[in-house]
Parts: sequence; C-alpha cells; structure tokens
Amino acid sequence: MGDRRRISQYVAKVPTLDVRSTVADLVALGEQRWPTPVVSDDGVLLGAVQPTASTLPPSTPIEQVMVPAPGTIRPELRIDEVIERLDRDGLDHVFVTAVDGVLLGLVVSEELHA
Amino acid sequence: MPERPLRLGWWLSSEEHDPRQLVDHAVIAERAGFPTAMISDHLQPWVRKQGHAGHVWTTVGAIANAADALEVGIGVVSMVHRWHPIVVAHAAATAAVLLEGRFFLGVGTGERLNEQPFGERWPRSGERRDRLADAIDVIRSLCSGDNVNHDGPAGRVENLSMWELPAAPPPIYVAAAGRRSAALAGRAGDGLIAVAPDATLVDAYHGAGGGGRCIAQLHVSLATTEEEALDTAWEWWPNGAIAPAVLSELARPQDFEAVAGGTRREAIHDTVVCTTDAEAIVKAIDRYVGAGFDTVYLHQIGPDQERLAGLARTELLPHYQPPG
Repeated sequence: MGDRRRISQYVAKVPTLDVRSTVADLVALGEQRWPTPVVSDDGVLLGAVQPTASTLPPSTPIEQVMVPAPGTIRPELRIDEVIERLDRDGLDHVFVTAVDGVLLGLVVSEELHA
Repeated sequence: MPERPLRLGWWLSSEEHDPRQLVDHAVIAERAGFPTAMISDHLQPWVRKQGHAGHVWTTVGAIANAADALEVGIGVVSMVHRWHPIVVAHAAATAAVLLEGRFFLGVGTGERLNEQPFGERWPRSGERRDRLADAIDVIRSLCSGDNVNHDGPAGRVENLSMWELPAAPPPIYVAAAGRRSAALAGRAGDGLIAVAPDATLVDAYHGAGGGGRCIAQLHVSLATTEEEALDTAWEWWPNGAIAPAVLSELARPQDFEAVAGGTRREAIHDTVVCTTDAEAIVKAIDRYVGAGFDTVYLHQIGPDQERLAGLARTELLPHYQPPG
C-alpha cells in the first residue's frame, strides 16, 4: 500500500515570471535549480523556461524563449500516484495547477522520497 | 550551480559535402569564431542529391591537422552492425590524441539507412538502446586503459587493453529523440544530444541524474530570398519534411525520396529555419536555450556554407557574446 495522502501538502511555491518579462528578470530571480514558470496576469501557467535561459542576452523576451504548456498534475492526486507518474516519465519535478490552469507550485521527486 | 555559458557550434554534414570540403568548412567555422563543431557519421546520404558519405573518422583526422583550437565531436556513431565498440573506442581514443583533448564522441541507437547494407536484422529501438548502453560501458573501460573482458548485448571483448590513450577519456554524449534514450543519456552519458527544442528530453536527462551538456542541432537554410531558402532546403534536405519516427526505419536513399515526395514542400518549415537574416535564427536558438540546451550546432543546408559563417561572424556570435 503506497502513501495515499494528497500531493497538495508537498506543493512548494516557486518564483514566477510575467509573460512580458525578459531574461534580465529571470536573472534577477537568482540561480534556479528547476524551470521557472511563466504565468498570465491571473496566474495561469503559460509556459516555463529552463535555467539555461539565464545565459541569453538580458533583453531577450521571455515569451520568445519559454516552452509553452509544460506538463502538470492536479493537487488532488495521491502521493503514490505522483511518485509512480514521475518515475514512469523519468522526471524529478512537475508543476501543479488548479483545474482552471492557475499555477499552485512545484512538486519535487526527492521531497516525496524523503 | 551557475549555468554554462551558451555555445554556438558548427555542423559538418558528411552526407552533403566532400571530405576535403568538410575540412575546409571546419577551418572556416574556426575562423568565424565557433568554438566547437560536430560532424555526422553516414554510410549513405539520406537522399541521392546530397551525394556524399565519407568515412567520418578519416575526416576527423584531417580536421585535427587543419584546425588549431576547434573542439570536434562526431554526431552520432551507432553500434548496431556497422561499428563494434572496440573499433569505436580505438578510433575515439586516437581522435582525442590527435585533437589534444578537444574531441567528444556522440552515440545513438542508429538508423537503418546506415546499418542495412550489412544484411542483418534491424532490431527494435529497445534492443538497440540496450546494445548502446552496453557499448558505452565497453568504450569507457577501454578508453580508461582498463584491460577488458566482456560479453554483452554490444558484443564480445577478449582481453584487450588499448595502447593509444588520450590524457583523459573523451566525453560520451548520447543522442535522444524520446524520453527513454534521454534517461539513458542521464544514466550513462556525459551529455545529451537532441534535434528538437524539446524540454521533456532535458527534464528526463536531468531526472536520470544527467548533469552534463545538453546539445542540439538546428537546421538552417540561409539565402538571399525566403523562396530561395525554401528551394535549397527542399532540394538538399527533403528528409527534413519526414516524420522523425520514420527516419530511423528506412533502408535506402530512394526510400527517403519516396516518403519525402509524399509530403508537402512547406512541411520543411517544421524542422528547418528558412530565412534571409539573423532574426529568425536567433529566435530558433533562443527556443533551444529556453528548453534547456546550452550548445546549439548550426547546420547550413546546401553548398553555400560561407553565407552562414559570415552571418555568424558579424551577427550571431556577437549577439550571444557574454557582456564584458
């Protein structure tokens, strides 16, 4: 029997970028270990940029760089379901969004195994 | 951990150019300011129009003699039927000696195009991946100077220590078009190679423990007009219009021509930047970097290699030069 608690308690807040921001704004967030989510004015997850984007010229628009529609999960999933899904896909993190697409945060695999 | 600075690299297309031209192109790339180049390994071209498929290890030896500071990698060598891991380890170690440490080895699960002439069965992708993982182990051991006895999916090695070793074993980067191969790159490789700005490959690579370079190939057709750029891409690189899943499964150049002939000419835009200036190329490079790649190799399709080298020297390389 796996861990049947909901994943919501493991959702960590992460810094976000506005879709109108630039690489300079990403750099200002400091070094990031995980992809940085890009959100709309009402908090809907639009895309994400990997930490490598911070090496681009500072004036580069984030909209030009971001990968649209990253994979997400819902906060109602059980912890064992999330572990299985991350293991299956070979991932060590995943964004969590509400049903309306609003970003809730990030779940990191190593936190679930801790 | 601070991010590695972005590097732009030059792609040397063995299937489009005479080996002597490839050596010249490597020198042109170095003079333009590219720090690194990658050369493809083909036994046959994708389509007959491309017209070339020189022996890549021989060409790398000539490049080593002509270039002074350029890093050179092969992308990618597969060990299905054509190459045995002993042969690849032997050649890679010698290339690393000739290039004085500026060599890396790209490996992948291969294409039937380059393996079918040996007359053997074309294995499914999972079997080819298992062979690749085994081959990487063998190459690492041999290039480290170990005495190797091995019997595995990639073949046998009986009591071999290599005699011509570089100061350090060359890095091994693993090509991936899907998550399973990206995970293999994370587990067994020193880096990831991809041909699309696909962040899921980078995530799978990191998720499997990969911490090395993530490198990519970007196809470009730079010309005086967009129509000419599209014409050149379609004439020289119609395989760019073929679905990626098919590319590893066809056996002859004629087969690629037949499949490409059934696609729309405009489908080439999905994989090739057809343009007259730097702006579209910069946007495409940025997409790769946003997806997690730190090195992007530019492949100018067709004969006019000087055009892209010139644009790189005057606009592309300066654009990505770190401040200061």
